[in-house]
Amino acid sequence: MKTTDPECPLPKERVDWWEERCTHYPQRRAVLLPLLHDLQEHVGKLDKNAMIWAADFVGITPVEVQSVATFYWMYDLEERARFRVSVCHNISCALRGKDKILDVIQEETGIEGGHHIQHEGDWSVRTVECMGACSTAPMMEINGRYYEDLTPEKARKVLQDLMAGKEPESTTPWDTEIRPTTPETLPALPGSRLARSYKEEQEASRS
Amino acid sequence: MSETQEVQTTKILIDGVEHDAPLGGRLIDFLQDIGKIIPHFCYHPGLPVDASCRQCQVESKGKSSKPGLIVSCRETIVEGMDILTQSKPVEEARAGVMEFLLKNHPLDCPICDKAGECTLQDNAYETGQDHGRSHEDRHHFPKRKDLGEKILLDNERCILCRRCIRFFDHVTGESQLKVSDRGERSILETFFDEPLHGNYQGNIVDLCPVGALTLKHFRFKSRPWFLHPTHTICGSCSRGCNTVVEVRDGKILRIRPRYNEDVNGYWMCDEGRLDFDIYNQGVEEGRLEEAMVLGPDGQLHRAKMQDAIDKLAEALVTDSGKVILLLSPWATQEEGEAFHRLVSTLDPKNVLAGFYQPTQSGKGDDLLRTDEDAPNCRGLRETGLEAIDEGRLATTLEDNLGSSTVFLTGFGLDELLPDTIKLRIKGAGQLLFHGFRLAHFPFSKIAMPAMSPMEKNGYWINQEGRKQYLRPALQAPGTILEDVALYAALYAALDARLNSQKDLAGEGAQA
Amino acid sequence: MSASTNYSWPPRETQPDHETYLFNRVAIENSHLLDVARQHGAYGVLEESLSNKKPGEVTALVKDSGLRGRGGAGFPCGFKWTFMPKFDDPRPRYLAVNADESEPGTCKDRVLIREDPHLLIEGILLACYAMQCQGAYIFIRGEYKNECMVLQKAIEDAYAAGLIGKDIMGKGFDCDVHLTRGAGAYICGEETALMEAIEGKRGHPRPKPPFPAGFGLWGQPTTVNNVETLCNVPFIVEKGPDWFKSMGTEASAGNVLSGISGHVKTPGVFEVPLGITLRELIYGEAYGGGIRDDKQLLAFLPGGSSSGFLPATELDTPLTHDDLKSKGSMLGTASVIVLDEDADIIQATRILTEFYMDESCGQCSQCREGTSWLSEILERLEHGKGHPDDIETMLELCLQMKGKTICVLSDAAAWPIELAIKHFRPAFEKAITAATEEAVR
Repeated sequence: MKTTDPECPLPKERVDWWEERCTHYPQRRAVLLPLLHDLQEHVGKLDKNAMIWAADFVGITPVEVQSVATFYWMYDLEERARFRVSVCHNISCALRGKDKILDVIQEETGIEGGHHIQHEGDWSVRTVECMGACSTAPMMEINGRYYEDLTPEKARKVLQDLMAGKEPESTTPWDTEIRPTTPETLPALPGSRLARSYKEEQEASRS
Repeated sequence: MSETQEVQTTKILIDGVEHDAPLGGRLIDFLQDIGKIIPHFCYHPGLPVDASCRQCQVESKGKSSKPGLIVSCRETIVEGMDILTQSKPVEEARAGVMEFLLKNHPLDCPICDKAGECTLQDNAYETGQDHGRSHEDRHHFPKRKDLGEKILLDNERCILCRRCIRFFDHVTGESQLKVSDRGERSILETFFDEPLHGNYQGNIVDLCPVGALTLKHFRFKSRPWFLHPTHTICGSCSRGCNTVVEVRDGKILRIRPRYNEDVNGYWMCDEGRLDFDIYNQGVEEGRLEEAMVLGPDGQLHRAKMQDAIDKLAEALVTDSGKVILLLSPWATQEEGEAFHRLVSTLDPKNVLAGFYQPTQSGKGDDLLRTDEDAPNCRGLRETGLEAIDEGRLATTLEDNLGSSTVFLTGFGLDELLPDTIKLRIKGAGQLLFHGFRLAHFPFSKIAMPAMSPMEKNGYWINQEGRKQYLRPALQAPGTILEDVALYAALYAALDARLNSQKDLAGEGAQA
Repeated sequence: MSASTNYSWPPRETQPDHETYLFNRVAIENSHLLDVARQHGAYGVLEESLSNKKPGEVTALVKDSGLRGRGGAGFPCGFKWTFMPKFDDPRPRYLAVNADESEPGTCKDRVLIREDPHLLIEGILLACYAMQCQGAYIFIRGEYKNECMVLQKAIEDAYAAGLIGKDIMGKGFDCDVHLTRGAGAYICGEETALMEAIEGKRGHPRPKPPFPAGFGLWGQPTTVNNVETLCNVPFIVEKGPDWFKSMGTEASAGNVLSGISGHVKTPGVFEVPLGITLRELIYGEAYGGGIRDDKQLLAFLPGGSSSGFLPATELDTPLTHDDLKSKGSMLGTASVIVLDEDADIIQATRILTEFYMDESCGQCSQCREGTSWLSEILERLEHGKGHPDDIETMLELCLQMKGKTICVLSDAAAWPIELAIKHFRPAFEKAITAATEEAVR
């Protein structure tokens, strides 16, 4: 039984890009995880319509998409804040003072960071499991960018810069700004790709 | 599965005893076949293996996929197996799994429908510890979640065996239930809490090893140990699913499928499972329990059975107008044969006699439900009776408006006839009715009570040609004649009448 | 290969006192760009192998070197490669690259991916050549957004230069490399769950057997390898097994990336030879630099959270698979987490157990219920609300969580608790006694 026809949440070029991407795998379903990231960026969250559209696109049922989307913590099914702060509370960060960082975050945003995501104005804060910045603990991640090697002062500066509309500087000696600097979460469109697709291979084997 | 196929066997040791086991077979199936108790939750022979509950563990001392404790649901039988089903590690592993499952499971037994037929209760009793040692609060989840018209979900009771998920994924082919989130936050749900749809929902209640999925129709109705089971066949369509009909105090409370490898597997559709209220109807709800005849005041009055039969016979041998005798396709083979004998006594010139062949309903699916809304069309055809379809019936009624005598006989025919036919029957000369309720045909001249298939012995032949036996789950009121007896009595009455007519004719000829 | 040596991240001025190879390019500016990497030797080994070596020869080199997986399990890499079917098997075959690094304490694959992605790509291509895989699927954890974009650009640059795709370098070998970005689940680092995630599903581990080489991605023969493991391959193929075995120990050959974190003065990720002692790693000036504020050591985890706690008395244990195993621990990801005397061992244990509870996929009864039950007990103990039977209960639950589940997350959750109780029992007993006294009062 088909649910109501979903509205396409992505611009056409993007859908074309995903169509091409589907040919990199023997099954279309394999694009689902990256596709959900993309949908989330475009729509703001994974709402009902986006999930139904994604289900149709990869050829599975909406309930399966819901099942996948709720399994992974990075997918937001609720409205996302403008600035989303995640602070690791696992062992290395706990040993190196993540509590003090959470205190600073609370002072600046008014939010007490905990396991469940909390919203206040433009900000949301949550604690998360190990983010892979253990040797540069404590850390926080805001909108995909890592801020590591933190001290309470460094953390405060980052938050205040963001609140003032400035792009914060790196908190580590090396650059953690997302590079190469493209605005999308995904790489460039397929023009430069020389990848052999499964479609070609199937056609070749048929001839 | 063909019996002539050779299955290779191999000798394996189970608890120190040598057995011949099918090579490549599933270990848990074989162990249960030889009488070993292997507690399990997620395993079900009608579904793909999940291997997640971990309760079916046994110990391997010989060749197996890995040494030590293995899950028997995933293990294939190979040569050199040496399995222990009752060693200390096995007992501890089973008790261990039970402890984990019971730690958060709500103490709902006193109000849970599943009590008495609950795998968790049974396995806890057989293999669990005799005490709980958790000092923690139990985790809470939504209870009484509405999954549509038929099913209620209690997420707290759910042990995440995922049988229901696998049922929709692999048996009906359309996923409806899935687990959201992960770990101890895992929760079974539909897409945005939409209701379940489809004609096979009830099967997940049979599958659920605990009281997480319950049937609204049966909720709080009875404890299972008060139910009296009867093995019989479903009549909603021509598939002939094997059923267990469960009765308490003379009322059907529940119908469940009965495993038959060749007919319905482990399943049945919701129509057959849930549409049984009619069988529980008594006189107060309009069930016919005695013969009734139209009196001079235009009302139906109770009559003696034999008087009614005589009047019936009289009406059937009338010279004027067409006589249409229509047998319900719910009739058993025995009834069909008796009816055939009955109609053979009548002069075929002005008689249309046979059984009603319902129009293809379009309700058929790839799974069980067929397009034929009655259980014994094929069987009745084999008795030699003519199949009369809607078109033929309509034409005959039209052509004989006002002058025909229509005899409708057998449970279920009144429900099956489409409204267009019912309207035309209204325009018949006279209607003679033998059925379950008068509701559809209050203008009958004679109304005879009939038994329902739940009250009969007999056999039906399903659309594949398989003979299957009915057994009575209910007892019909003592005033009702079995259909076969009615046809025999009618035959006798008709025979007497026709013979006397012949005598009269003979005398007349002589005179 | 490049002449520069570097042994740490962040890069340090001090020169290492041992040979290094993995980190040699990471300190070079713009080492993630193809032309810079090529200037410093990238893809030279690939070209030579495609020209002059048969696939089986590459496998033999890796097998003889004794390279063991660097993702945590330590399975011999070349030996694993031989599980793939013979080359005349018509089924497609894949390499799955595990870049899901999520073990607490571990942040070393990340450095390689971000700073020297072409080393990884070269390793991938050599592995694919050795096993005749038609494609490699890299699965990188979703949180590594920056690293993902760097790697994606590196892959595209390599494609444009004819280093990936059809007829690589004109040598007649076809291979594709694809990158899938995950969305946050530790369990996807388990090899079968990794494959499920690449296929676009929930990260549920599959029961084994069948093993990936028999039934992997989309049911086809697949080998799963860790990022660091693959980064070793170009060096082994270039310099040979004997060179590799000259570093490390007999059963644990080569160098390993050891990330040191926690209460040390100078945390970081260091390329060290296997066999170095934990004492040297934690206290050595070139590495951890000793305990912060010169405090005493309480405990350390030698190989990521799953390796569990060891006390100061075990500091002289060499960092090898067998030595750590003999102590009831494991090498794991060789990521050392250090706790000083002021740390609360029960709190640390609780943090780790809650991690496993959060990350459990939820399939197996023992793991799903056990990780949360253990977390609840530890939470009570941490706040002084113990019950007299808590220790025994925890140990018995741990016993039922080991060796009985589809994957070893359940075991990994049990090990730190068992080791914490084994080595620090008085702390646990104190928490219970305090609670009992409180109750009596």
